[in-house]
Amino acid sequence: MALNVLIVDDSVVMRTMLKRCLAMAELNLGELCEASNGHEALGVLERHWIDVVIADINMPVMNGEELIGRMRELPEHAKTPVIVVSTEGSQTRIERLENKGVTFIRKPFRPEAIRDVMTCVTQGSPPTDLPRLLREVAEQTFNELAFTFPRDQAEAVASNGVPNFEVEASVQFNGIFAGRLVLTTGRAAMAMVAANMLGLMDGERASADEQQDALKELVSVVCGNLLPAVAGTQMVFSLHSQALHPVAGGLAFVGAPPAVASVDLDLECGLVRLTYCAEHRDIHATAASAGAIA
Amino acid sequence: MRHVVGVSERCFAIDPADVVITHALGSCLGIAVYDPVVHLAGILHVMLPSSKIDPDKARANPFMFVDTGVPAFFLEAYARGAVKSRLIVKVAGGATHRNVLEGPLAIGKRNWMVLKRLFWQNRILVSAEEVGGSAARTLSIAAATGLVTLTSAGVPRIL
Repeated sequence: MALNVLIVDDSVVMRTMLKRCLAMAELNLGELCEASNGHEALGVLERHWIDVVIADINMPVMNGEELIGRMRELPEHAKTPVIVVSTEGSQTRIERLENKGVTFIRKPFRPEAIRDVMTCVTQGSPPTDLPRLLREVAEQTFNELAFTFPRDQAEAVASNGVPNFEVEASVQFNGIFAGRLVLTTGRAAMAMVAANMLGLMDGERASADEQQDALKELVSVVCGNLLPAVAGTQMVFSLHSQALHPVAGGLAFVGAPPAVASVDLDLECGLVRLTYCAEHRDIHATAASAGAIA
Repeated sequence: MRHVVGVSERCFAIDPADVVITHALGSCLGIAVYDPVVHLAGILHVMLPSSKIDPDKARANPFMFVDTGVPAFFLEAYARGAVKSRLIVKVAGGATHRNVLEGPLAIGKRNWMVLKRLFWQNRILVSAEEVGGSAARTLSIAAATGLVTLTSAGVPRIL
């Protein structure tokens, strides 16, 4: 399917550069529309079917942020992928935009950045080796941060029998796609990884707060390393870790089935399960799903 | 003089003419320490991660296991005049056989993890390491200089 792209920037030179980048990326493009501010862009969106919007933030008449806000109010453009290419330096503003499902690319950009983001937006499918990626990243994180050696899943089931999952920590991410990574484990494993991270001697015990904090940190680090592996290094995500809470049981989703991968790591004191779920492009549906997970 | 360290053994040398060497480090770990002030050089060749599997053997020879051997090795180095803050620590080994990359038989990985945890607990930084892979290694240290040499597949290099 050929994609119709709308480029919104008040600079003719920048629009030309972006068009050049798109041509270099050899994507399957259809109609290429242009607008010099948010107001003009809304007019184009009314008249043309647009699949992806690439927009600047600082523009006269109507800026990029207002444009994105107006687009999200329109049912037909509530989920249209938007890539912001800007010099924007305010982290608060960037986060606000990412929460609307926007991907951010900072100027000056390389043509490869535009290609990578466009490829991710337009193909949008999760990698088929997601479980392998998740396992690799999780193992490396547990090795490096918690000095814990995970054995394989078959061994885990054989040695532990019924998995003991009592608590979970999760991290939610927003960006080119949105979703959540959930770490589920038992109290013994939680105590062990916290003690290892703190460098405690055998017999010493991490406090309940330290245990919670350790798990939150681990799931955040796994997620932060997994996302570039899933989506490429140009992706920008905002991560929000969630407080530890008792396992609610089961993951429920609204709408289209998300990308799900789950791996079990067998530590000395029990299993740690990491479940990754994300919905590509469909930011709003995912927000609803994220609520259902908890 | 050349001191050869066998499996589950350690050796120290203080004579500038001495070299301490250990061969056939597969999944085992070789830990070389050097104190540049007293010129104490030592190598520990440790075989298994945890003494929990056989406490009797660990009592008979603590240098068989990482969790008992490493503390005993360091305490002996201190007793021979080394100072923790001066100690240069290098690690090699922890290889995994090509056919056993995962699972409980990955002793090399387990050894390395237990050692890292121990070092973290005891605030010890490693100045050089070559751990993992599938090659068997030979590790040596010269008492005069503390130069650590590693050989695998016939190729020597400085660690």
